Amino acid sequence: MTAIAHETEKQTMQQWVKKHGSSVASVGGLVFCLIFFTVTTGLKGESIWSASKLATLIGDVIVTALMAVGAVFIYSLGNMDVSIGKQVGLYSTLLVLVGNATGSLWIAILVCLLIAVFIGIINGAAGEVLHMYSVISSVVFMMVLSGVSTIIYSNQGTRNISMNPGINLTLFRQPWFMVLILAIETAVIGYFFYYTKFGKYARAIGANQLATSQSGVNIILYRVIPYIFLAVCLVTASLFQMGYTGAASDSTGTGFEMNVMVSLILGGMPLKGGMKSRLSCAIIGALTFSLLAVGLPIIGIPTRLTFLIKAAIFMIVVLITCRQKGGVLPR
Amino acid sequence: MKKMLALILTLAMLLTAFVVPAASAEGKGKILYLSNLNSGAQYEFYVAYLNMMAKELGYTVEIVPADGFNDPAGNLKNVKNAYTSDVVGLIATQDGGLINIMEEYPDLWVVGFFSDFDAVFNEGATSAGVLEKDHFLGLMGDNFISGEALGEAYAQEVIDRGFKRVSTCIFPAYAYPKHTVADAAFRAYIAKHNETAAEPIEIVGDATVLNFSPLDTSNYFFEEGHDTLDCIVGFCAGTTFVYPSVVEAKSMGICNPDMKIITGGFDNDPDLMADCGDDKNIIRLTTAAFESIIWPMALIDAAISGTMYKDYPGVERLDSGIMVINSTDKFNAVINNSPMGATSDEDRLAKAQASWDDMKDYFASVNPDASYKALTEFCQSFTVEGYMQ
Repeated sequence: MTAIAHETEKQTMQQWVKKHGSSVASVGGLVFCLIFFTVTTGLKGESIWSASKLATLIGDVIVTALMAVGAVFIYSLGNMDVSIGKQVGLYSTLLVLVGNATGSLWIAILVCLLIAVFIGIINGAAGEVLHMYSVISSVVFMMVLSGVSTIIYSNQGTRNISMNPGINLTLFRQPWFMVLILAIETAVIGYFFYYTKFGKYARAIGANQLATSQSGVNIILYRVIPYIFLAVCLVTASLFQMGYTGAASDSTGTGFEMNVMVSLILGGMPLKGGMKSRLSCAIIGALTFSLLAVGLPIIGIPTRLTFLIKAAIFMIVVLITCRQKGGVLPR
Repeated sequence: MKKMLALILTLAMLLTAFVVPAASAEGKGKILYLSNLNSGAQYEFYVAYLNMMAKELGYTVEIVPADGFNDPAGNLKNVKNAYTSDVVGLIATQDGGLINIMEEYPDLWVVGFFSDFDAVFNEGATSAGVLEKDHFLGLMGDNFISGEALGEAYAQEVIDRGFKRVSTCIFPAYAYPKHTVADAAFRAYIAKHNETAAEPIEIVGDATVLNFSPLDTSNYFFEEGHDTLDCIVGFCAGTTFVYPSVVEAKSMGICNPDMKIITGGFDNDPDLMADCGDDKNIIRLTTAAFESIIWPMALIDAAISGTMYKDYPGVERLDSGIMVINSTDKFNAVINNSPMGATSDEDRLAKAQASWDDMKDYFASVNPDASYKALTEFCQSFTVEGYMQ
């Protein structure tokens, strides 16, 4: 009896690990980083918990986290959007230009939202309508927006543009405001992701599109809606990206899509999407990513080596979490 | 789980191994070097030279990679992440976000180096507010600050070499306005020369604007007049954006086989350096004198130490020492006798034109009689001829 009980317990444990292993690894990674940096920065006479470093950490994490929370919807579909960086670049630029031209940040936000939703609808629908991988349309947008950015900055005659001092942006540099907006965005997206059919269908499409389609779900509609959620999140992220310095440049947003991808993977997001997709991946991953960026230089690791270490950790996490039979990259 | 635990422990041990030898040094504090280079001979030399000076003066130096595109938020973020309580100064080689960095850390002494700092010095530019900060000390740029001077220098080289058909390449004006100015000055200088020349020099077409991508071989050399050019003048980084295309075009036989390149910057790729000289593809490189980095270090040290030069006039935007490498002998001197050809930090320091003993009297914290004027002249005096002696 004891042997059977032991075997059952072992199987239960294995099942639990199989089910929650990814979550444990990602949360464990974050907890490990927190403990490690709390101890080691103390040895250096610094503190990761000091007000200035916490502000730096929040400032570092906010844009990536805001984007990643929205991108969870897209990754749960089994898709990815590589135009994220260029979109943030364009919205940051438009926030400055329209803000300066009209004197109102609200009008600038509205303009950005309209463009973002338009791009989201095209990105979401193109894959299904044109029978191609969704990532292709995002590649097209990436290139188009890159061209638009070049034209805008050529016409401006400069690589950097800054917001008129008349528009007060100090709120976007306040850590408490960053945390508040991130919490609100996470709560709203979390509600839609877990408690409405938008999230459930998105995960279902990621898990098995054919079965979902045969269940009567409108695939095009429920592919488009996640991209609209992402669009709103990107405009929010752009506000903080631009507000951080009150400026935008022709390179703003460059590589952000990779930051989002790395954060989600570090957070334990399954690359093929589906029912195991979790919103917490975005927050955990973005926090871990930024904690490394902020913590490693404090403990004396040369800044240029931090990229190497982050890459090594990323590879380890990918090796642990993504080596599944039949696993594919999002597309 | 065991595997994961093992990985985490290994990672922890690796990180700890990094941490232990990097114990913070006692001294006057840490200087951040926001570097627009992240590899190559020039980068290695700057790091070694800065560390040497810092050690002598009692500082530590931390290299902070500048944003690859000079993005304001990227630079601010990188500096903030690297900032610790012992940071006292910043040597910046990019100007994006400099105003934000100085507003974030108002007590930080900042000096510019190896860049034009258009975002600071141009009227109404995004970081123009930096000039109102008393903790900003000035800039020593990357060779000529003036586009006119650069254009005229290249034009004189074309005239001296006897080229008759030339073209020019620049980066977009919105990103590098200096290139457009240099190109205009180049054309004006050649036009003036043509007024009295027996055989005029033809500048074929308008300047080709390279949008941060290499010259398009498949189109450029099929355009009218480009197949018979004697020389391409690259105001942009020609070693990266023009040279490969010219080599390709020559191998395809679609351009003048004797065509040459005049450009700026430095590249320690052995294949490229082997192709520099009077009878090679690249006949002239213009770059900042490597040892000019003494200037920002001396100035920031004076400010931090509270021993600012008595004759310091306030913020200036200065040319660096200028290396004009335009003969086989000079290329050989740079490759063999300068820090660019060195393989270890010891060798780099040994090959520099100024050792600590040579430079220390220009530091106000070391020599109370040191003058800013003498320091500036000293840092602008380094030339390629210095490696030929």
